[in-house]
Amino acid sequence: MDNMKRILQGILWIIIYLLLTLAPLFVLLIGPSPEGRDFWREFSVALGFTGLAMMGLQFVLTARFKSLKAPYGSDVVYFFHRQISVVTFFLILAHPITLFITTPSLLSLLNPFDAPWRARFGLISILSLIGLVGFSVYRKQLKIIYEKWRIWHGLFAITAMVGALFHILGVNHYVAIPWKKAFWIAYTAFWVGLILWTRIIKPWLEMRNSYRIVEVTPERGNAATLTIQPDHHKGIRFHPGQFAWITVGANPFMDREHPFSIASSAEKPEKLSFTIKNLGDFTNTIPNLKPGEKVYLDGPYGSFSIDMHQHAKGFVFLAGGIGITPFMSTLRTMRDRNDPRPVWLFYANNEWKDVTFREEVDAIQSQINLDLIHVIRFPEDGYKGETGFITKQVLLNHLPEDIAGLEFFICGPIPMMKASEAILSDMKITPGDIHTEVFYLA
Amino acid sequence: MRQKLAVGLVILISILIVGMSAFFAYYQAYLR
Repeated sequence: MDNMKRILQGILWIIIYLLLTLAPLFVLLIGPSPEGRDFWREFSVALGFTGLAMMGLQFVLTARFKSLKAPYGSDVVYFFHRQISVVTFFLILAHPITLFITTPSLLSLLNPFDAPWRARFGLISILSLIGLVGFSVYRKQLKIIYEKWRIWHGLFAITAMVGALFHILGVNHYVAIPWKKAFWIAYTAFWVGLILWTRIIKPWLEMRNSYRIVEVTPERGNAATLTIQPDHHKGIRFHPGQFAWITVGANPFMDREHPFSIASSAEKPEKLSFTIKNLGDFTNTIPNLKPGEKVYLDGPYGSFSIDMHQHAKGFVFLAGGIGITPFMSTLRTMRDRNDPRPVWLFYANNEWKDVTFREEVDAIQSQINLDLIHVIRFPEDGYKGETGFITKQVLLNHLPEDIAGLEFFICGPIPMMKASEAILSDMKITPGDIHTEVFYLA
Repeated sequence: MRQKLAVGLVILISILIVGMSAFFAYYQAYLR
């Protein structure tokens, strides 16, 4: 996909986002609608309606629609989901607060024992929203594991949406006309349906296309490679650098799935491999998995791939630790395709003994046009390569003078990615030629 | 870089949404 097409697609989605947020509000004004009240009251109501529409749209952002994620990259879609959720939270909170400030007598509606149902539903919705945002922002401090959080996240989201809908229907001011009522019920039902699609229908489809573990191999750097193959179906085609969501052991409804980069060659889709570092959470169960166990897979996703840049003259990869996995898939694919384009791989690790795929990357050097540059933070005696971090000087030491037409890919821990992005923009690389994949989505 | 763009986008969308909500309220309160 070339850059122009991606930009246009990106802009189109933004327009659709705005339409889906604001159009339902203005639909309320079509046909007979109630008399206007004072500005602040109407403003507060408008914030409530748009807030609900924005909440609904949050479900789309995490429903893993490939065409939506293609122009931006999945990590940015999740980032946007988190950022816009804060805005949504405050807009919705501003709805009752504005009302209470302008009409303090309404404060009595906060007492759930005396309040009418319409106010109780409003309160349920707001409390769910506070729970939703609180659990997400403080998940780590509250020591809630990712899988449990994800279930709560879905439940809070549905309660907040349904509570808000009943609140609107109970107030019955703008939706007094039957078709408007039906419109808002359908609008909310659509979003709730979406979350059911993501969490129930899709996992069910995955269950019918399961995979089996072929082998689990330990790797350098406290990692393990999980190799799987399709269980009596065709499997998936993917681009090198893409990732998939994996559920191991349990069934795909259990919400134990995690995103991992595919590490194997896109030219050999009959067997997929994922190399996973033990980070002390779910990932520490990987080495204990046994051949024959079932695995469920949802993918491929992501636009972190050389295939999205067919016209590139060459590639520069900046890998940090286990961030090597999408590049491993890319190097293996380039080898299998006999791709002649030059590649510079800057591979940063803390220690030489922990360099995952050290031997294989070294071997690939003789099979494709690869310039491999290790950067070791704590080198042993006798190590002769680059040391410390990937710096501008390290890049300049190895890249050719003419870097026009090269595409830059970065994958690794977040601080490494931020530093690398800063270095590349300092080197006047066009932002459109820099591609990143945040490795730890969860 | 893309994250900076996303933050910009969030700010832009927020301004548009609050602005349009205010327009809705203004229309309801004064223009009809």
